[in-house]
Amino acid sequence: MKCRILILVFCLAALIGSAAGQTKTAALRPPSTPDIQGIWNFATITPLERPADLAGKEFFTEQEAAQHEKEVLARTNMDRRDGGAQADLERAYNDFWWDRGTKIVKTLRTSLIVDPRNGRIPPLTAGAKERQAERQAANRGHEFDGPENRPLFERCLILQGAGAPTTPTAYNNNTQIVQTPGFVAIHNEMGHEVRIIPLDGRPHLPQTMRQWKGDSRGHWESDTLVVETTNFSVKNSFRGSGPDMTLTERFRRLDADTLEYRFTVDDPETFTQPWTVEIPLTRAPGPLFEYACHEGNYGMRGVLSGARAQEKDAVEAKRPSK
Amino acid sequence: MRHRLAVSISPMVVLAAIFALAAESAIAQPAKAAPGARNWRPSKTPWGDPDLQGTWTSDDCIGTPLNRPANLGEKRYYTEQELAQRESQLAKQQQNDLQELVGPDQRVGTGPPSHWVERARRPCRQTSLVVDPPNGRTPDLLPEAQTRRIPEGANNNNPKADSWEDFSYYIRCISRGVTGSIFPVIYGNGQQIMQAPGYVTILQEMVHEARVIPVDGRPHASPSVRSYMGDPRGHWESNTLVVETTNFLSNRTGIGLNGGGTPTSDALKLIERYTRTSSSELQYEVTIDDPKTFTRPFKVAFPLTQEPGYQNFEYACHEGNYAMSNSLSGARAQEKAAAEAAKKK
Amino acid sequence: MRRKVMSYRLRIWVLASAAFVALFTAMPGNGQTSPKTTSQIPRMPDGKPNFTGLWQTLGTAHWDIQDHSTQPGPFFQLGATGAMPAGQGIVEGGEIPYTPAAAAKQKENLQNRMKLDPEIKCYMPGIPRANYMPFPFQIIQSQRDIAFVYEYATSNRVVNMGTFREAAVDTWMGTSNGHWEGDTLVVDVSGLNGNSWFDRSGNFQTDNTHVVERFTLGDADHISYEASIEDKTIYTRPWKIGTVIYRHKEKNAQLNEFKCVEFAEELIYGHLKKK
Repeated sequence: MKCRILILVFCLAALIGSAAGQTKTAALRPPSTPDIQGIWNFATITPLERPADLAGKEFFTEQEAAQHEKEVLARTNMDRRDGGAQADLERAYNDFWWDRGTKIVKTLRTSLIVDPRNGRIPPLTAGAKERQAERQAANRGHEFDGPENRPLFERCLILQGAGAPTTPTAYNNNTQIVQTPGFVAIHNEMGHEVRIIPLDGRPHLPQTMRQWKGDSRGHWESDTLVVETTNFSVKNSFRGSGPDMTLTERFRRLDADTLEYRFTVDDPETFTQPWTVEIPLTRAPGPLFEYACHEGNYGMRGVLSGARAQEKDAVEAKRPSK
Repeated sequence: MRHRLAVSISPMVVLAAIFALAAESAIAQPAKAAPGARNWRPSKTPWGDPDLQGTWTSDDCIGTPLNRPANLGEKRYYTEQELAQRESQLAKQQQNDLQELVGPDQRVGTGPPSHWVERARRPCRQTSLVVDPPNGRTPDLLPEAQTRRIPEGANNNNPKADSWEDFSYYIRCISRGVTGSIFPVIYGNGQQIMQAPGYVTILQEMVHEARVIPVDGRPHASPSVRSYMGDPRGHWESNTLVVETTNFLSNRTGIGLNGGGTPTSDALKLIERYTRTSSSELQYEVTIDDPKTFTRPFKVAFPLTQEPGYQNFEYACHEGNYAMSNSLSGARAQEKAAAEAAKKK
Repeated sequence: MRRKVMSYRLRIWVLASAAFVALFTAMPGNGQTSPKTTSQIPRMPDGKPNFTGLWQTLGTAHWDIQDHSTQPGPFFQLGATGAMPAGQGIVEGGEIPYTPAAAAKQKENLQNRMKLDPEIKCYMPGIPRANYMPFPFQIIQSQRDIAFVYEYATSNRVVNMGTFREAAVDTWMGTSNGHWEGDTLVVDVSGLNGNSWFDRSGNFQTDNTHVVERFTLGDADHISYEASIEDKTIYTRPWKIGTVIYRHKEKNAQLNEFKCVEFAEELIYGHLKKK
């Protein structure tokens, strides 16, 4: 009897001891949190919006998918030489520079937008339409005046695929996720943007503080990382969105090599309903490369000096010939 | 057994006595011996450094020239008679200062009223601030130093006031340099010494300098870090604080009153010695060594005193530098008037 | 026989308890074996906290003590180096409680800050601004008074820890009288001449502004700094700022010299230079 008591006591002590020991040497990521770390690729030839000619067709069949991929790759091959010199020039880079992906999404959906069901961005509100028209009118005829007239990605300010939200684009369709107790960091190759997302429940920045990529706060809902981003700057816009957009992203591990990434745009000032996008993230070997956009922005110099040269030519042309 | 014990105890008693004496001197206690006496020693701070703290002033040697008049030769001190004479002169001056109105026989200039300036409370015993070489005069300048420009600003001998660069660093309210911030002048002579473990700090009234002097033996800053007030390092030699200052910028202030005189070079090295000789008197001595400016090193020394009610006041020189804007705009106005007069001719 | 059994049982329980105790005390977080749970602050021989050292704030309070996003700078020639970074404010509650007239003056100050900000002219920064300038400052704590030696513009002040002394005259750095409240250094700053600002964004003082500061060593390397500000002529109520001051721990850290008058002369007297 006494021996058994003794054994029980020592076993209990051992259990407590080992529990204490475990918290002491626990991995950096708390054991209950899923591991979504790694380098992930999100290149896909599935477009954001369902093309007009596929209206009503939510999913491809396997055969249709294969055919579609062949057609798209043939159509977008930048090494073609048909169409004459002008067409060739406008294809800009050789094919190896592009990294749009070669496949459509595994779900065989014909758009990345999953809601609304028609796979298209919902209509703009009346106010948003007005603002958009105003902006366009203000810029008409001034598209090449200066850097502020050029699109944000040409200025290397905010780039597509650079996070909040992440969407596939011409290249650099890679992201790296790092987890640590209390934080998730998401590093997008495009624009070397890193979003640091606190998970400790702290409030957002005050409304007076706005950022290009907004202000993100995250938490886990069972196996899904939910990230809410607000406080966007009025200077940035995702497909027409305004500064009071609330962007909610969800990251969920499907298997060893796949993350499901979904985001919902909720901006009642701009869109008549919220809309949701789903993009698969596939594990990639990496590494991420430095995208020194601004440092190498010959494009901007070329665009502006070209515009100045054209203006000069136009003036010269108007002069009466000798 | 017992016998051995007795023998072994006596050396211990001696040792104990020695330790007791040593311990006694390490504990903070009031100064020993009569003030002013040669063997007077200052009390110690709780961490064992000699206590030099308080607000000191060089007021008593206001008016004493840097250089001894040549006719006084090697006469370093005034005689007792001469001192008595000076004392009565001081008393007369104090009386004059109390006057509120100018008498009918007094000449009035455009300078400030007399109560703007400070006065010595006792006659200064020295005939000059320079005490070595024995003739009480600064050594000759090296040839390369003789051509250095001394910005003096507009005065009757040299009315040039094209820009602020024509004025001294003092008039520009930048700095008076280390020696210029302690040598006695007409006001602003306050030197507040504060000590903390590992540091002595001297807060100098004009122009609100604060010399932070580490006494922990650390080396000087890199020679690439240079400044107007240099880089000071202190250590204790018995009860004297010795401060070595290097890393001066070149060609800025001179070593004279208010930083005047030939600008010194980046080779300037100052060795100051602060020795408290009573609760209210501190002997200051500085050896000035600039091998690119003077033919030899030389010494300046004078006493500092603590006076009841004396305190540093904020000398917001730059913030209130009407002298600069007035001098420059006055010069421009004169030029304009001259130009207009010339046109009329 | 019984006695023997009892003592055996007793021994087992003693052994078991001992094992429990041994395992419990060996676990982390018990407080007994971890010396770092009580913060160690340096102290003077008389037991008072010792603030002597080289200190500096981090953050952007010197730009704007309220929350702020990035702003472009006034000269494009300075590019990114002239722009204002974003930062969280140090004002408790977020807003400075200006009267309507004072709020208007602040906006005017902000619009004209390149002409009006005393920092640009190298004027002494006053209190509390001196404490969160982007420059270090040295605290020298003697066994009585405490000197603050600020690198910027060779500003400094001595906190009188003896009997309270009224300000004899209004000054840029004010008159500081301090006392201890436990381990907190409380400094009353009066006699400010009202020429100083709180930051580069036009938040200003008057000669009625009265500041009470509180310095507390959270641990050897951090001062928790608070300042209460009152001025009935421009605020609807007293308000507070709070931030952290960090100790410089680099090997050869020391106070350097920033005599900035030379950098402001062209600005102030340039129009009076001979053409």
